Amino acid sequence: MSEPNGEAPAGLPSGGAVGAAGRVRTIHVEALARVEGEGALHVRLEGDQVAAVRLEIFEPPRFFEAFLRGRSCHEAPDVTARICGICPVAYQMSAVHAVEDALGLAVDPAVRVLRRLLYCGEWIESHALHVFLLHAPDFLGYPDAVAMARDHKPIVERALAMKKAGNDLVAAVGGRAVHPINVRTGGFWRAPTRAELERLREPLRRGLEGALDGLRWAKGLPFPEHDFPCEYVSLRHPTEYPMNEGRLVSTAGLDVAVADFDASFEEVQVPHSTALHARRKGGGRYVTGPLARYALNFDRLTPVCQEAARDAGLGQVVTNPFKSLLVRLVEVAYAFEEALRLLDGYAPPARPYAEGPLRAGVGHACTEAPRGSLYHRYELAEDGTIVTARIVPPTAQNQASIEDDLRALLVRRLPQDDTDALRHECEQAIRNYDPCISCSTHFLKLHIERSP
Amino acid sequence: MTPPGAHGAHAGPVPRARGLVLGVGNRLGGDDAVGPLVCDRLRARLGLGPTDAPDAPDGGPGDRRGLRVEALAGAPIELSARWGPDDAVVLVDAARSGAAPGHVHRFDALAGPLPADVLAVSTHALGVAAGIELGRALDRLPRRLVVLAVEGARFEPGAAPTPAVLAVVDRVADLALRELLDAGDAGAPDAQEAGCTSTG
Repeated sequence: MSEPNGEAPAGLPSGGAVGAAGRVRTIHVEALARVEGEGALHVRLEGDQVAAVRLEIFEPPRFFEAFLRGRSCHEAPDVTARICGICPVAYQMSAVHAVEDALGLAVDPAVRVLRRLLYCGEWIESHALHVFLLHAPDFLGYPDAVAMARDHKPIVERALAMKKAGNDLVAAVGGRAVHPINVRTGGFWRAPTRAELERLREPLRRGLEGALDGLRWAKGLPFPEHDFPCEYVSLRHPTEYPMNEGRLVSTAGLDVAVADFDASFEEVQVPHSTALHARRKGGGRYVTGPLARYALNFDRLTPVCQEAARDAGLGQVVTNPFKSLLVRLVEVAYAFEEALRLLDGYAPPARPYAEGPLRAGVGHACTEAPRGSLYHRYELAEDGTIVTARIVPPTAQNQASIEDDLRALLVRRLPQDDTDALRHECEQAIRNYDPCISCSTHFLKLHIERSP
Repeated sequence: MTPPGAHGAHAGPVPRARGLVLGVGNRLGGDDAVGPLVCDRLRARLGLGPTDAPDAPDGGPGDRRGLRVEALAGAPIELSARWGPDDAVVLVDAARSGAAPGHVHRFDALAGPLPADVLAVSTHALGVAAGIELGRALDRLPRRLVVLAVEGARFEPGAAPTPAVLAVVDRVADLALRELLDAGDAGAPDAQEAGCTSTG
């Protein structure tokens, strides 16, 4: 059998739908759209067996961890922010918290408020884009957001308005909407005034309404019946729905400090991907992201968001990955509500950033990127130079689970004779995880290969 | 024409046309940098100052008497948020269609959908063509929208732009200005001067 390109054996057209056990089917798809980055999915079916499912990642290792070495720890937030155009705030937050951990630097409570506001903005930007423009077209049978927009103009317009409210929040706190520039060790270069943030109140209030209306609309989407129970891992904070801080907990009973990340998780190389696969030490694959955060922190959501989740038919734990769309919307609503709450109590810090002496040490941090826990670890020399850096992005952590989820889906859907439908379901199933492949990877080709 | 005050400022009795040059691309993506490079060139000529102003994704919305020049690094799906209904827009992007590097494609985006496979450079699945088509679907296209797409040869992260592409940056900057001047959409004397003194 040809591998890995899935060339059709002689006599069978590539892309042809032959189907049925005992016959050969090869599907070669050039582009798997609507995920961030480039990669490929290779599926090999042998008769009634799913012989292989590989999420292949082509991008060469990105060397961020290597080229951080020898640089000042103060550069880590801005350098790592460039890893991703969708979740730069997550990179800045994990980096700045880890550096402050290494330096033993405490920050002003108002800085903490601003960081949480910034994170709310990124969740809104990222989730609103994914839910309405990347994920919803799957359920409505449109090839993309453009086709969807022709028939659902008000929904797409409202989604863009929500995203803009998120952009404006990130710009107000972070200095600009993409790749914010205002984050620095100890706080911010400049703290926004109350008036600057107050201008956001009305768009944020409308955004909250939009998210709740969106949830009422989205609960009627045709979600495929599918269940993928697995270990969920996320941060958990004593009082808040987690963004910047907390302990790492899991549905299988894990409960450790972030500093114990390396003792609890390991990354392994697999031949078909330039992203490392993460797994629990002594355990197996796990899932991080909205489904995990929600399942482990439902009690930390506001009453409004809990009520909205119940109204959307969600239990306190959701194991159907397709319904991650609804959970993202709950998180969008939460981020709007939380931003409004933070706005109420905001007073600029006396000084926008704290300063302290440089010192040798090791710092860890984990924060909740829109797609899941993002771990950073820095080892610093006495002069604050980075000696080693380690970055474990959420998509890399989810990669093994995405493959297993697809395997489970394929086993159930194998009788499906329509290769296009099968391909579409695989793409849709990958989008359930909103993979930020450019963080861990780069995306996009889909091969389904069938052999007797 | 739009009623006065509906969008943008009007300087005098003659409704001020709004010209906008948008350069889309990744500065670190080989020939994908051509859009921002054309913006750099135009901004230098027009005295608009540095491109990395903090209020735009990658490049400031320098406004000089009705002509704005903006470089965009990302979020092309929200492209239609960058312009208003009575703007005249020239969008500069990189292309990958198989033509010779440095070849400049010109599309009138108001005449019909763009060939999506030509502008397939972005690593983001939703590229410039999708951003424009979303604007069309939402009735959010500007009064005029011309796309100048420069054929590139390499797009690897960290690669330098190819000489053939660098060689046309000046000419594309000219073409972009001419598109606006010829239609009376860049009425600023500065813009006229900049257009006239450039190499052709």
